Amino acid sequence: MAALLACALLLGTAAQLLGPRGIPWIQDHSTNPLVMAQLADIEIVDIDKARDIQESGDFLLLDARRIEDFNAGHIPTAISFPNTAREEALNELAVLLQPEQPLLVYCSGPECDEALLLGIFLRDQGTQKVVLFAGGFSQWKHAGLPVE
Amino acid sequence: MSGPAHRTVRLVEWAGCFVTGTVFLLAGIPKILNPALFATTIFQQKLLPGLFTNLTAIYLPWLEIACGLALIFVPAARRGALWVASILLAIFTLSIGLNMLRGGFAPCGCFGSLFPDAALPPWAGLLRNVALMAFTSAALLAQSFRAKPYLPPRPGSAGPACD
Repeated sequence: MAALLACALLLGTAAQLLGPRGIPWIQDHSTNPLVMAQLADIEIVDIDKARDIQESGDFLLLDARRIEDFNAGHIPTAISFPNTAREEALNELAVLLQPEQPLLVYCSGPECDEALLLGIFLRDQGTQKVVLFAGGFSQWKHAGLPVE
Repeated sequence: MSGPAHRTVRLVEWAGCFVTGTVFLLAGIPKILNPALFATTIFQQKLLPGLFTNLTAIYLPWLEIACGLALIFVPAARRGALWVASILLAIFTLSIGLNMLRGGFAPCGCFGSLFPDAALPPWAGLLRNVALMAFTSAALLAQSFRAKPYLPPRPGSAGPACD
C-alpha cells in the first residue's frame, strides 16, 4: 500500500514538473468561468450538444467576442453580440430577443468569461433559457466544424 | 480447500482485480490528460478545502493509475492495491452521496471527459461504486481464502470414496 502511494506521489510530481499539462499547486477556482456558470445556474453544453443546437436552428447563437474577432471567423448562423457593447447590441437586436427565445452564448474558449457574463446579463433581461458553450470558438474550429 | 474450489477462488480474485483495475485505469487516464478540468470538478464539489483542490487533482489520478496497474499486472501488490481501491471507492461513494443529498448540483467527474456526467444520473454513479466495492470485497475475501495453502490429497489418506 505504501509503495502504491509512493508511486503516485512520484509520478504525480514528475508529471507536474516535467509534463505539458501542469497546473498551479494551489489555485483560486472561484473565478473560473465554468464554476461561475454553475454558481449562476447557467447550463453548460459541450461541443456535441452545441453542434446539435446549431444544426437544429431552435436557438439563437450569440458570439460574445469583440466584433473584430467575430468578423475574422465565427460559428455559422451566429450573431455578433459583444459583451463589451451589450447594451447597444440589446437595443439593436431587441426584436430577436423574445423571452421565450432560447439562446446559446459562446466566446473564444474555456478561459474567456465574456459569454458567461453576457448569458447572465441576458437572463437578467428576461430570457428564459440561456446555455453556455464553454469550449467556445477555438474548440469549434479545432474540431473541424464549419466556420463563417 | 479442494482443487475446483481453489480455482474458483482464484477466478473470483482475478475477476475482481481485473474489473476494478480496468475501471481505475479508465478513470485515471482522462484526469491525467486534463488535470485543470478535474481540479475544477473537485472545486465544484466543495468537499475539500481550497488548498487541497489542485493537489488532489495532481495526485489522485496517478494513485488510480498505480492502483489499476497493480491490480491487473502485479500479483504481488494486489492485496495492497485492493485495500487502496476499497478506501478510494468508499471516499468516492461518500462524495457522490453527499452531492446527491445537496441536490446533485456538482458534477462527479469520475471519468473526466471519457464519460461526461450528463450521460448518467448521480444514483447510477452510486450504484456503479457499490458494485465495484462488492468486486473489491469479493477479491479481498478470495485472497484471504487463497492464502490458506492448497494441499492435494495424499494417496492412502482418508477422502471421498471413488471406487
